[in-house]
This record gives sequence, structure tokens and C-alpha cells, in this order.
Amino acid sequence: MLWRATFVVTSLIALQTFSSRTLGVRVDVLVTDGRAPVGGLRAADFEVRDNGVPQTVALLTSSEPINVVLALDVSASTDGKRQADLQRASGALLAGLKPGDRAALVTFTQAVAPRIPLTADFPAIRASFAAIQPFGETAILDGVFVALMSVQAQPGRSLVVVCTDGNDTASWLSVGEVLEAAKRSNAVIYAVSAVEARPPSELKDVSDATGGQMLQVTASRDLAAAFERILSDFRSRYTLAFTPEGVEAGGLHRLDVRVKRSGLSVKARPSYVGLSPK
Amino acid sequence: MPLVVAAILMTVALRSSAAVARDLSSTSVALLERWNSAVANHTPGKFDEAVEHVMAFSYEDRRQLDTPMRTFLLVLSGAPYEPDAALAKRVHLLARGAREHFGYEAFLTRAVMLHTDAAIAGARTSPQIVPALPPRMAGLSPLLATQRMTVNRDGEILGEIESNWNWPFARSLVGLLKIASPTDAFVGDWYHATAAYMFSRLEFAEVWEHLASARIVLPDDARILFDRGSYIDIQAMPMTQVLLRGVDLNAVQQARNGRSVPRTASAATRRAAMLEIPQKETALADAESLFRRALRADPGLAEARVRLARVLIERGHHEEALTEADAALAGNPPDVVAFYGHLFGGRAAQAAGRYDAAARYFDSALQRFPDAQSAMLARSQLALLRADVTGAAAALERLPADPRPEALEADPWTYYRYAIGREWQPLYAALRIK
Repeated sequence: MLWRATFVVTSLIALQTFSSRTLGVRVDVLVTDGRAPVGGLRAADFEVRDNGVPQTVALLTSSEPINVVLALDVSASTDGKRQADLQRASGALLAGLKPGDRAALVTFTQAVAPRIPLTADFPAIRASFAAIQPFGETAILDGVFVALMSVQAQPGRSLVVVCTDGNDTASWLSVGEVLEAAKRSNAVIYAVSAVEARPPSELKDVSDATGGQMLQVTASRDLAAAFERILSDFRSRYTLAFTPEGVEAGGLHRLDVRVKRSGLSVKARPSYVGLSPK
Repeated sequence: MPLVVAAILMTVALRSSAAVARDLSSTSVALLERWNSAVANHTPGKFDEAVEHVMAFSYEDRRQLDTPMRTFLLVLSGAPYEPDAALAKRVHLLARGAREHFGYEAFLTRAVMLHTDAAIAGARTSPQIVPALPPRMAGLSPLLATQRMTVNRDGEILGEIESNWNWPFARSLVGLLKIASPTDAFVGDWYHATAAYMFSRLEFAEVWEHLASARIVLPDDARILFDRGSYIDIQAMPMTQVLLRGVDLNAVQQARNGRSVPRTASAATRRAAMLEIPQKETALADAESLFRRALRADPGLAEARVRLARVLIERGHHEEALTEADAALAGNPPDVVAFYGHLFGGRAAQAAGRYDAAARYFDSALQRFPDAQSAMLARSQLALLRADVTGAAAALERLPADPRPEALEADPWTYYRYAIGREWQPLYAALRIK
């Protein structure tokens, strides 16, 4: 258990699975001053406690390529202008990706469709989405699960952008079951709800569990701005890594991430599920 | 409430036949003659001229028909009646002829089938959805009784439509039939088959009315108890509960107790106060009770057992749910029911921490329906819990990249909400043969 931080970082980059048996843990962290993300922080600026025990953290490079999964609601209610606005928003996000980044497309009605696996061929994603004919009801939780699974064993940082204009009416998986999956994933979920009334609470729960956020837009024309902001926020996040010390390896670990400077707020996953080494 | 309605019909007819006779007009009697002819000539299950004729009745036509109908049914039943005017004599002759040709129960059965076919045929054209229908005076006559139904799609309220008048009228005739022939299996068969039809169209407002009637006519019928349990079970599901999201439930409860909704209440709260949607926990408790009663009446009702298992899971009683799922599966039920048994058994086993057993249940579900998304997701999520990332990914390999609406049929979970509606056509065909 006396691995050096550099070794941990190397092994993490090689494996990139949150629940890997290397005992390495990575945490995606967003630091803001209340308005905008704050850059320029170093590993020493962070304080991470695992089940209350302080950990030695390393800061991974921020220039690492990213994976973006678009998990989009294409139920009947999105037909027409909402779908066109969603298409524009997706296009805007894809346009912001850099060489080395990859994207995937998952859509959901009652039926969840892993349409395009992670790829650098963004025009293929645009074309796939443009050809979709909305139908059916909304299985948000099932869609989120498949989106998480599409990056579960992939290298690189992963962002899942979930967008819906409704509430979950058709999922098989329960919010508890998807939360369990979220706790076992490195991906950060950002959800965008275009629901006029109260947004789906389960989506907020799942986003929070990954250290992500839920945004609410009142009109579908605002989706593009929301998607661009999500990508910008995600790129501004820090990736911390540590090898748990002084705690049991398995089970649910409570995470507490803080910044030593005052006046800054931190958004990070509140927990993770660790595995006992074989 | 067919029995009540039937009793009212008979009472009105017996007490005031003279007064009714005075209200007869040549128009109303002519309408009755056309209706009688439609009943006589209709072939059950066919959308024939008789059905078209009945479908064309306007509200005014039905109001006109209401007056002679009471006398007609009275005479048809064989009750003594002395017509004192020419129009009354025409009604008397008509009813006596129907009684002699078909008999009371057979004529009622034919009429029930005619109006059932008219209701089903009427649903072929989409009703106009309006933001809000004007309130209509509730009348005693089942010929004039319709209700406002709220239409929602995927949790979004689209507006209101008026229910089909053929249903309450058919129910009132079935009520008469039940009085005349208490042991006639047709009554139970009809309620079950027509409730299945309504489930198949997700017409829950109509199902609610329908089963409220069935509850009075057949309080201990296993199939009706099962249908009622299924209805309440669906009320507890997200597709229905979503309509209570963001709603002030105290205000809704006050409104149901007869008090007005506060002026400051949100639009969602006002709307919810008008809808008959129970809160989830209440619905689950009621569904459990109804399924248990159905099983006491008919322990072999496997689908009641698997649905009970789902309700028990929702209520956190996982071991009990597993027992019910196993009991249902032991009877080798049809594929869809077996699928539900395995799917719910798997979830119950997983929640109880018995992961190996859960995997076996999910695998069995997938053996029956290899393209069922729900079982793939269940299998994948379970693998993830067991840190088997490869297995979790493999479980999703059969998910289609470009699913079509018809692909939903590959997964019985997607039509769990249709309850017995998935079998409405054979049930209805069997009814016609009888």
C-alpha cells in the first residue's frame, strides 16, 4: 500500500476504470468562485478525505482527451421544434470537441438505442441524430444507464450529457439501481431538463452522485447555450487521483473534496464504490 | 353502477309508465324502432350498418330515445303494462315482438354487443381533444351519461375528450341482464373482455368507471379483482404518478373531501384535484389487497401472483415477492407471465442480496424474450454490481442501434402497463361466439 503517486497515476491512465482492482480512485472536480470555473490550482490546493481519512492526491493533466456521450430524449413529445433545437445544441457541443476527443450517441424513448459508439467521426453522429423519427414515451433512467455503460471501460475522462423534455414514465431500472451504477462509474453526468414544470428529481440525484449538475432551460432554443456551457465547465474541471490509504478497500466510500483557498466552492462526486483486491 | 342504474330504470318504468307514455313523441318512438331494428340485425363483432346507425345517434337523439326506452325495457322484461295511447301501443308491440322473437336475456345480450361494437368502432376515429370540455349535468339515464376524460401523453396533459356514451349504456343493459340471470357467465366475461379492450388503449378513466361498475355487479369475481388490482397497480407506476409531480397533495386531498382548492394552488395542483390518481403508497397497498383477494378466489391466477410480486418489491417486501414469483413460475404460466415472474423474481432476489439467484432469473427471462430490453438492463446492472464490467457490457450487446416502434413488442415490460389489454382480442372473440 506504499505505492507512490506517480505509479498510481500511470496505472490509472492505463486502466481508466473507476472500479478497477488497482485500488486507484479518480475524482473529477469543478471549482468555481460562485460565478465561473477557477483554473490554475495545484494538487496541494486540494484536500480529499476518503471516509474521513485524508488522502495524498495527484493532479492529472487537464489536456487529456475527453469522451462525451450524448444521451438524448427522442420520445414523441420532442417531435418538431424541440428536436431541431436539440439537434442544433448537439451540433454546437460536437463543434467544441478537440482532436483526440471522442463522442457517442445514445437515444431513449421507452427503447434505449446505443446508436453510435465512441468515435471521432462527429458527422456520423450528426447524421444519425438527424435521421431519427421521435416516437414513444420516456425512459430516462434506462437511457442514463446505457450511456454510463458506453464509457464504463474507456480510457480518458468521460462526460455524459443527458437531455430530456419530460419525466421518466417508462424505465425498467429504478433510480436506486442507476445510482448504484453511477457510483461505479468515472463519468460525470450533466443533465439538461427542458421541462416547463418541475424537472425530474431522479435526474438531479443521478447527476449529483457523479459530481455533475442539472441545468434547467425554459425554452428548447436555450439548449445550445446550455450544452456549450456544460462542455466548457467540464474542460475546466480538475481530475484528482489517489490510492486510498487508511481505509478498507471495498464498499461505499464517502468522499469529501475541498479547496484550501477560501471563497471557492467545489463540486465533486460525494462517494464511490471500492472493490476489495483479489 | 349498473345494478343501481338498472333498479332506477325499472322503478321509473313501473311507477310512472303513464307519465312516460304522455312524454312519448313520434320522433322518439321512431328512434326506438330504428334502435330495435339495429339490435335485431347486428352481427356481433362486425362493424355493420347497425353499428353505424347507433354511432350516428346524437345527444338529442339519445335524449329522445330515453323516454320510450324505459317502457320498452319494462315490456321486454315481461312486466305487465297496459298502453293507453297509440304511441305507447307501438312501443308495447315492439318490445313484445322482441321478447317473443329473442327472449329478454338474449335481446339484452344482443343490445350489449351492439353497443360494445359501437364503442369500439367509435374509437377508430380519434376524438377531438380540447383544452377543457364544458361541464354537463349528470343525469340518471345511462343513455345520456358521459364523462370528461383528461388526455395525457408521456406525462404531458394534452386536454380533454368526452367518453363514449355506448359504454355506460351497455353497462346498464348488463346490469339488467345480471338481475334477470344472476348466474349468466356472460356478465363476467363481458366485463373482463371489455376492460381488457380499455386497458389495451390505456383508457384509464374509462377503465376506472367500468371496474367501479363491475365491482358492484361481481364483487368477488377473481378476474374482476385481478383487473381492479392491475388498474391500481398501474396507478402506482411512474407513467401515472408523474401527474402528481409538483402537486400540493394536501390541497388535492382537501378537494377530494369536498373542499375547494386554494386560489393560490398551482395549475398542476388544480388539475390533479380533478384526476382520480391515488398517491403511490396508497395505490400499492390497495393493489396488494386486490391481488390477494383475487388469488383467494382463484389461486391459479398466475398473473395476479406476478403482479403481486412487483407490488411487494415496490413496498420493500423482497422475500415475500420472491415467494410469489416462484409460486407463479411453478405453475408453468404462459411466456409473458413467466417473463414477468423471472424479471420480478430477479429484482427481488437482487434486492435481497442473492445475486446468483438473481442472475438465474434474469437469464431465464432472456431465454424467453432474448431481445427484451428490460431483462438486458437488469442483467447488465447486476453484472456491474458484481464488478463484472465485461459482463455488464456484454448484456447490452443485443440492444438495437436503431429501434423501431414495433421493436417494443420484443419486451413484455413495455406493455406491462396494458395489463390484460394484451389479450383483449381473443377475449372479445370468445365473447362474440357466446
